[in-house]
Amino acid sequence: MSMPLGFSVKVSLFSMRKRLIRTILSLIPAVILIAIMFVGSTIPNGLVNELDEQVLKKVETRQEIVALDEYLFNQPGIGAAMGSSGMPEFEFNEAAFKTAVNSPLIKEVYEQFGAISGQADNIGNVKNPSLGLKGMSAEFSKLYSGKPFEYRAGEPIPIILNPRSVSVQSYNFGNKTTMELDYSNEKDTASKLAYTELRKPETVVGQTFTMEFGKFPAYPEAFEEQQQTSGFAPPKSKIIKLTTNDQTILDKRVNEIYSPYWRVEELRKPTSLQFVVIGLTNGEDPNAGGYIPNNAVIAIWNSLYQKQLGARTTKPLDKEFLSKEANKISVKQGKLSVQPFLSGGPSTWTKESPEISTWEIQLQNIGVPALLVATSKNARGETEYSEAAKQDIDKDSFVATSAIVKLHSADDREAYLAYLKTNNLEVFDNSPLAMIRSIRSGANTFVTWLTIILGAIVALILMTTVSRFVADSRREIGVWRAIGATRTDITKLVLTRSSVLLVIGVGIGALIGLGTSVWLASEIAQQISSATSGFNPYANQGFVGSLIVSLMGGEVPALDAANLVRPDWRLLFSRLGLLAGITLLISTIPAWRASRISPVTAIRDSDA
Amino acid sequence: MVLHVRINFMSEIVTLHDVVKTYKKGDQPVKALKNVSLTIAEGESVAIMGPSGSGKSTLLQLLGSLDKPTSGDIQIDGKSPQKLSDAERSKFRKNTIGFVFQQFYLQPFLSALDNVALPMRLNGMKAKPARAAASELLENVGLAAKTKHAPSELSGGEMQRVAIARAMANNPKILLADEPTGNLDRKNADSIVELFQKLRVDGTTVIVVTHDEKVANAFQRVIHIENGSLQPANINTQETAPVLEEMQA
Repeated sequence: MSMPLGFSVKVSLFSMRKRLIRTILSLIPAVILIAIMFVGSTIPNGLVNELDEQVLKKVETRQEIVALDEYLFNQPGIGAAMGSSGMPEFEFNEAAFKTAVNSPLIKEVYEQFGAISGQADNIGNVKNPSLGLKGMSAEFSKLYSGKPFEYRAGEPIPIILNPRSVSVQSYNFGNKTTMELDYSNEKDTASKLAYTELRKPETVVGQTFTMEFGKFPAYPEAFEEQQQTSGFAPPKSKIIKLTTNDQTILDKRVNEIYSPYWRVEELRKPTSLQFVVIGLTNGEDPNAGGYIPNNAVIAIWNSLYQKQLGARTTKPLDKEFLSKEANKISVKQGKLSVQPFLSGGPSTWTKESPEISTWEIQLQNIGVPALLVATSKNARGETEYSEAAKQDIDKDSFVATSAIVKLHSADDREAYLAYLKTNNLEVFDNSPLAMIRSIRSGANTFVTWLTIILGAIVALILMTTVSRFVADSRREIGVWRAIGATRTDITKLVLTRSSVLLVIGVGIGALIGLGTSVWLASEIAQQISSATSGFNPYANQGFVGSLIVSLMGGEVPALDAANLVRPDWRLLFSRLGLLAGITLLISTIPAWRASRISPVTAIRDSDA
Repeated sequence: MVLHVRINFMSEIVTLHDVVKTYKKGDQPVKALKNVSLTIAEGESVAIMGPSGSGKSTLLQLLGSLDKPTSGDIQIDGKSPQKLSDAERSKFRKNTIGFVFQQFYLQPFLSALDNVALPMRLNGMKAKPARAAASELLENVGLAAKTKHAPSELSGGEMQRVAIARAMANNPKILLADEPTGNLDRKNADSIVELFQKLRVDGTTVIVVTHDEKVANAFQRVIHIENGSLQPANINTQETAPVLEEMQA
């Protein structure tokens, strides 16, 4: 008969009490690891389950939609896609586009023509958002809105808004010349609310707003000094309006350059159009701020073109003007340094010092004249620019540069993505299902590896503790042996000790893990509920919140924090089993050593 | 009673024949025991005396079957422990020999009762009967009132009594004590010796290693060991009287 297990547990517990501090210290890494394991087996699982139930089922039907963005077909180089504003810098690969849209897995192809950007006055209570608009076919729009989706001259242009991409990059100054914006101030509830409101169809759908296109000259009204506070925290900004003097200098220079070719005052007349929101997207194409009917894109470009034609003088555009290098405005007496900015809206502006008197604007950034420039290649393969032919811009001038395809069924998604891949058209699968699942499998892999690596460390630390216990207790073990304990008893005693340490570690670690999970869950739920779309410097959406929202294609799921704390028991126990296995395996070393301690150590004096 | 003691006295429980024990100290072999032959009768009380390094602890280790001799033969209770496997020897020790140490070696985290119950628990006995038996053993050593005390709450003499009770837990035939009074004052030492006497009278063979001549003299036989060899005069004539008296009683 050997020693009962309960008894060896009791002995282990009591002897640990004797070495309390050392025991506690040796338990810390185990506790941390187990807490991480607990959180790792709980939150991703809970999140996926919760998203599965609340959102994924809802969007599952959308899995049959795949957005084929331009980047799939556009290669850096020189091209002539008429639809894009300014001079195109990418060459459109029509063959690739045809391959992508000719798969037998596709049921319907919704081609999208061109894009244009402009500045809106107000959308809801968000002021001055700049929006990049893409063309969309009427059939595709039915996925978002049952309302008629076509452009009729004189009527507001229907728009399906993508709240995720709506951003504010220009500012209302009122009478002021500078503005202080504190993006890091989470308490700016009004701004936060403005973005949040954009996600609510009931408040946004039906609203009308105006947008201005082809602003000339399109240099910025203000520049912004951003001050990054820390890490991922939103920055603080100081926005300074161009002074009257700055504007005078700029205007003078613009006039010098452009007035031979255009009647500048004609170009300055704003092209404003009215829009009506008829629906919200869930962001299949995160790059578009909104979708308008394909024919509306063409109509807008056409009206800009007509405006330019109306303002054109008889002087032909010369080569110097058209060539890239020459298309810069240099103002020597100015005070500003203006960096190249994105067409359609200002980007980052820095006023380096009041003394700086040189600034440049690239021609392509002055939107309107650039429209009249067409590119071609000469015999040496160099790009040459020429004035566009004086013809109406019609549908034939536009190339479908992107498309949204509808598959026969949601199940075809993977097969279609594989089809694209075999044709060297790697598409980033941003479907919610794919992303959320990859998060879970990523988190699982991470935690499993962490268990193996940290588990080995934990096991080593526990083994060291147990080894020290063995080393310190040689005489004691000898006495145990002398009074009849077998080697098996001693082995059992040492292994029990490791196990007891582990069980205590698991207990405390699980409690801490549970606490952390509960806290994390409420934090994530809160972050997600407050997260809004795209660039929203005001929202306290945090890393996880913004990640989830972006993965969900802009849709903000209402998550129940309690449901997020849902351990994947199978996974948790398999990890704990792994940890226990490693610990027991490593503990066999001190256990074996202890069992080899001779009982003679119990009675040993100088003559031994 | 008389008959019982007599029979016990007559049979040999420990026989050492030409026992040699050699240790290696570095590269040099050291002979701790040199051709020791010794017989101890069942129920006999024996004191082993000798200076430091004389081999008395080695002898005790062999008597307690904690170790194997380098050569020679040992018979304890009719068995040759050196021929048993480690596990068998553990079992043999558990059931045949009780150990008492100079430092008591009680488990500090166990009560007096649980300390005494420990060997029985090691023997696979359930907690309840083990405790009942331990309680009885503590009563026998005069500690019925202190069963729940932790070792730290006991005096040296009391701790050694607990240790003796523990040694008697599996009802061994032989009690081996290594300097059992070494850490005790005179009064406590005397009472421990008295306890040994009582155990011997009850039939247990008591073998004690001691420095203390006064303790040694209370035993029937004193074995002197020096340089690993037993010294010739090893019968304590003075102390044979009580044994005879008992025999005649």
